[in-house]
Amino acid sequence: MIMPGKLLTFRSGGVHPPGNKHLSEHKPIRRVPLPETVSINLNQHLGKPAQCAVKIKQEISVGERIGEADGFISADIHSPVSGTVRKIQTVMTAVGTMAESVLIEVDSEKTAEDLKKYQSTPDCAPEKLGKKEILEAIKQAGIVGEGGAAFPTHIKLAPPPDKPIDTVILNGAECEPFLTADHQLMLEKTAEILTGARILRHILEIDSIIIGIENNKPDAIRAFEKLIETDSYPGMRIAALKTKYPQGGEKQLIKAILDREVPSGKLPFDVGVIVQNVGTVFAVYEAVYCGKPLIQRVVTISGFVNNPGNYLLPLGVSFEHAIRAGAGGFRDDTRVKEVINGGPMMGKAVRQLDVTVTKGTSGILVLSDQEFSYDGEGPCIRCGRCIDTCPMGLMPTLLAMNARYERIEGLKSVMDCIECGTCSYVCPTHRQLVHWIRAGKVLLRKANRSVK
Amino acid sequence: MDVVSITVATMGTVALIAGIILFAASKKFAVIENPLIDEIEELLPGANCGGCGLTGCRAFAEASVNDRTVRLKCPVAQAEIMAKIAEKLGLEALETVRTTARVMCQGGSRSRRESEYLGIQSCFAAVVSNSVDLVCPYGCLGYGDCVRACPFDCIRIVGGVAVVNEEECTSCGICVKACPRNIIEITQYEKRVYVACRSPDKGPEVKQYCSVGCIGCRLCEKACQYDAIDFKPFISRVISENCTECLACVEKCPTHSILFRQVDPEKTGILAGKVYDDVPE
Repeated sequence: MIMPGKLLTFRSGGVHPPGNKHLSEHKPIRRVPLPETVSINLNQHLGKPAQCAVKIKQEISVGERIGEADGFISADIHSPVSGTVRKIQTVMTAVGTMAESVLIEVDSEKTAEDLKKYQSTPDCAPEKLGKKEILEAIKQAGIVGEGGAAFPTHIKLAPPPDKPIDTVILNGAECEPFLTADHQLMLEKTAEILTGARILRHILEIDSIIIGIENNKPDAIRAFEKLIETDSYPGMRIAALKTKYPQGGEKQLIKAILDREVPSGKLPFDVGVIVQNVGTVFAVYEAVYCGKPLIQRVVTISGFVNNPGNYLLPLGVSFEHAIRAGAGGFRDDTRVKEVINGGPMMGKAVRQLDVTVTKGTSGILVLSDQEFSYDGEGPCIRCGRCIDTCPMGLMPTLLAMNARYERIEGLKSVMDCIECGTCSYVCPTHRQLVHWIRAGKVLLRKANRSVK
Repeated sequence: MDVVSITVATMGTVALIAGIILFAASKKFAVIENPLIDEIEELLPGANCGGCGLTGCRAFAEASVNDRTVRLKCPVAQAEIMAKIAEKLGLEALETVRTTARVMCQGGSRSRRESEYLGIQSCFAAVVSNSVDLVCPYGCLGYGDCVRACPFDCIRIVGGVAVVNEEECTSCGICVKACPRNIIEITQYEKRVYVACRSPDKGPEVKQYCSVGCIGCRLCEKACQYDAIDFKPFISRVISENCTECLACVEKCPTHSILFRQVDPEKTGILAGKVYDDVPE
């Protein structure tokens, strides 16, 4: 279905940052030797943190629930290892917040033994399974969106009845530079992802599933096409997308593929679409067919490390262990400048290396002093580049100013910002626009609360 | 008739009619305002800081005249001004205690910072994005939100921590609201002993990130003979009412987290004389 010269994309804005994907591209997904301890924090998803369901000194095995969903928007958390709970403490998460966390001493032999129970599964068509059971299985598996926002999937897949859904988009765009985790997953688990898509199609009772992939991954597009041609996956098609950042943003993807615009303050539900990351769909497949909860995920470790590549990391592994045991350590310890949780555009520099991998970690990026430089921001020269490139059609420079001077009336549109970082990327004077806009969001929320 | 006289006559008539209308309107729609309001406004500092909880000095004057009370307290005005206002209103002034804002932290460069914060130099922005480099989760960040907020220009960042010039401080409370860490407090000016730490963490944890934090050892509580230390796990607090400034606790404190602010009469502010050159814009 690749039609040369007819690549889909969103209309306004966008940039073309250097991809740097060659570092980890086509590197097979590898496992990492288990560390001595893992520390699993209970706030890995959007919404309320899970409640701790284990006690100190309790023996636990792989897949046992250690965090119980608390409230409507929340998700269960399961143990990725077998071992003993040693501590329950408050530690820093990769995004800088403090969260309750369970420290487990790993019994690596038992873990390997226990992981085998997820391997052999009888194959049957997803259409034969009950919808309720599938949704329950997804909920029990604690699956959240793996794209980054980590929204609990069982809520996303049960849209309110007054909002009919007609299309599901699988997000395989992976527009963020450096990251190749989704790409590699699509190559290695093509059939599983498509079966997962069939499960979604079944429970949402829809016809059309579209897989959006950027055209810098032609082999992934081909792999999917080959399988779709065999006719065992009805209603699916591939949409080849132009390589442009932020193509993988939910709203940009919907605009590019379906030419529908999600109105300000609304969700994809409102235009009849659900967008799911390919990683999430693979997790759905594993939950339904293997009964396996979301306990590990593919993470790209790239940049200034000896073996950049794609690694299957259990949750709760520290960044330090992932880099040293998995990616062969830093190329030069003294020259490491930043370690980023996520990609370079939307990711966030971590403050210490003992923060752990969570369900929303898509990449660990190490930047050396050569790649990273920052010497403060300059004044706004009113060039308007941020406005030209903003994929949401906002005026980042004005929003940042309004946030800075607490002009609440000028912050009306700030909630539409998807924090993709395009404005900060193109700014010739390196203004920290996204940072101010984030602060603006908090200001607006505070103001709205005090009005009520 | 020539043009000049026509013009004069027309304009004169128009002016006369307009004058009569304006006079009638001014009589009919006159707003009778208590002249006291103007007099009281005259006495007030006129900073319009909002420290009293109203929108400005005019609003304060109106409120105090209309309510016939001085329970509204202007934090900026000195006691004698309040007494004058009370006199005008025919009331007795409430006894007021001079207050000042104080930063309950003296960490700064003595508090451990890990990683390097390259974001916007604003405490609020740093807290919002969870990228604070200070390890202590309670301490002063030193990016100067309070410095920029202070309408009287009496806060400075000294050695990485905000310090209030207590002589100039009018305790309007704007810095209290500006601080995202909530470590600025309005305290009594006369009571000079206070615990400059707000960390309720246990001793070993505090030791890890700050050398001048309260470790909750309770030595001050034991040293105090006047019941002036209020200990809640694991932070001490000086009860100003009971404190006699005997300084027993100040001497006993192993981490020097209890401060005794001394005012040097020769100098204007408590920290006057130091060079304030690291003030953010």
